Amino acid sequence: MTDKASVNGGSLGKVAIRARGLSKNYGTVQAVKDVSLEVRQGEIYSFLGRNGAGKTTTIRMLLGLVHPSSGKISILGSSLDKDRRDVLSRVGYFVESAAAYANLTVKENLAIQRRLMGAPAPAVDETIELLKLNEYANREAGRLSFGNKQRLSLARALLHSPELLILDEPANGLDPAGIVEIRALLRRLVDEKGVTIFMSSHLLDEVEHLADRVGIVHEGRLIEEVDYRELLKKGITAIELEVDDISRAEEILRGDLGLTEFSRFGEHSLLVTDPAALSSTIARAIVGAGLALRRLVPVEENLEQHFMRLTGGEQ
Amino acid sequence: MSRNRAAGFGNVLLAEFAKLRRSKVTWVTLAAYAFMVAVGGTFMWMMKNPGMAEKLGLLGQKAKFAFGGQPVDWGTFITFTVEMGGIGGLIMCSIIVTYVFGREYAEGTAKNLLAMPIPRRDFVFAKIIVTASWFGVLTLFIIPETYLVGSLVGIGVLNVELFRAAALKLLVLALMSLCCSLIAAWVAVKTRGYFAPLGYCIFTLVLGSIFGHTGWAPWVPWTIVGLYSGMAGQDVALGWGSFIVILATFVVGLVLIVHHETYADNGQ
Repeated sequence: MTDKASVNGGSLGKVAIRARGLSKNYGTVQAVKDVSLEVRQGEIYSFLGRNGAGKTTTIRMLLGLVHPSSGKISILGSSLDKDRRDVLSRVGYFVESAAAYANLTVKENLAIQRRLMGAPAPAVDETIELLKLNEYANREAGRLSFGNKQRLSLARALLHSPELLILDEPANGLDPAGIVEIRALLRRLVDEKGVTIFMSSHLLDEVEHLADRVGIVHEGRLIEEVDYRELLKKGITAIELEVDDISRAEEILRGDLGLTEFSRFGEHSLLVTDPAALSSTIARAIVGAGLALRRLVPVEENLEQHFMRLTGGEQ
Repeated sequence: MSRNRAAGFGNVLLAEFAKLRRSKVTWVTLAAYAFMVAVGGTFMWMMKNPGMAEKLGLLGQKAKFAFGGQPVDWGTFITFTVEMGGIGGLIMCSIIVTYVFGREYAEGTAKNLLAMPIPRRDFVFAKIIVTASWFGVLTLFIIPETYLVGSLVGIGVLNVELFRAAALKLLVLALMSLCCSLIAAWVAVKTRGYFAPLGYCIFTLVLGSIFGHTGWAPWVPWTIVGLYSGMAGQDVALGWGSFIVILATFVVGLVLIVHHETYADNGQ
């Protein structure tokens, strides 16, 4: 099946972004390793990772700024390779840092964007209004504060009413009130206009407040995709157990219960993070095999704890 | 959600011109050209007033060096202007092309442009046209300024034919400079800024100067511009081969930029 057909006609419903086996090598450095992800239309998908995890490189590949070493990308049902112009005309974006022509005013910067994107004339004033940039409309971009430059970049991304927004750290440089305001704006775009948002962030708080789904990227790999609402609902993401024979317990988890995600900590303890794990099943299997089960504790994690555990310790 | 139709080449070109609004660099280049002609005019004035030139010491010696043995007339002044327009133009055109292409990287806006639903070669061609227009205006500005300065100095009666020939020669020199400077644009986009291309310009000037004293002079692009301007003497005639070298330099520069902008990763 072609990318286009699988996006449009697949049973998964409408997919805004589909990446398959995406990798990017810079010489011997592998910046992104075999990332596959799907972003559904009308959701906010947050790409969460530490600095240097591969978030920006992935975003650059999604926008065609960086050519993948391997893998395929389809956006809004079309292949990025084959239908670049059509795809990008429906995408609003901002990458890494706010940038504008310093000698031009906010309005002039947006007028250039409008001209290039073929947006209608009133779009400039509407976007200025939307991003609350009225006060600075006639100020040169070079004289804007960092936060207002960030707003200008967001305005640029929104100017042509895109169906998909790809935003790299959109809250960077905004003051607390600005963050809340932009968060509300993005949520409104999703709820009222059906816009899909793919955003990267290293700010857990930001992601917790905004994301529907979270992809956690670490050292170039997408190590987990979490439906954040499910995570909140469940509250339990791991099971900690202490047994007398840890090797035998591992065999039971793997062989009898088919669990793959667990790790040792301490001499007799295991942390089971497999989403399929159930406390009652584990308890029955361990005790049934004649092992001494000293302790079994479901662990409740918030996103921060979850992220720290997955990416290994202190940030 | 509305579906927009991304810009055609005309809008890309207008957008590129709009980026120059309020740019200080445009005025700086104009001032530099105005200064160049004004310096020539000052030398002419001093040659016309040798007593005053002697009193001025070092500056007077420079004027003698520039116009030594030449009559103080429109021919001398215009020849000076054309020669300066040749080598000065090569430097100026490289500065302009470096600014037009390099600013997108220096100001961080290249990533915004390259992810637009517009063929990237359109941006390259539009920027070349903007550079050509900007440099063309500067070049044409020299002619009336030369007339104005020459009239203020009181050189003599205007020779229209001399001016017409000078204007034509300056335009050809401008075109040659543009052809040679596209490689500087490639260095700007490749190195994402201003410093390397300006270093490259200095390198080409040194290279041109070295080859200017050898038999290879008519085959080295940056020397050819100087030869055509008359700096090596009016008797140096250039063959078609030299013009083909200039054209080839243009093609190499163009291919390098278009290829880079189309295929290179943007990791800015």
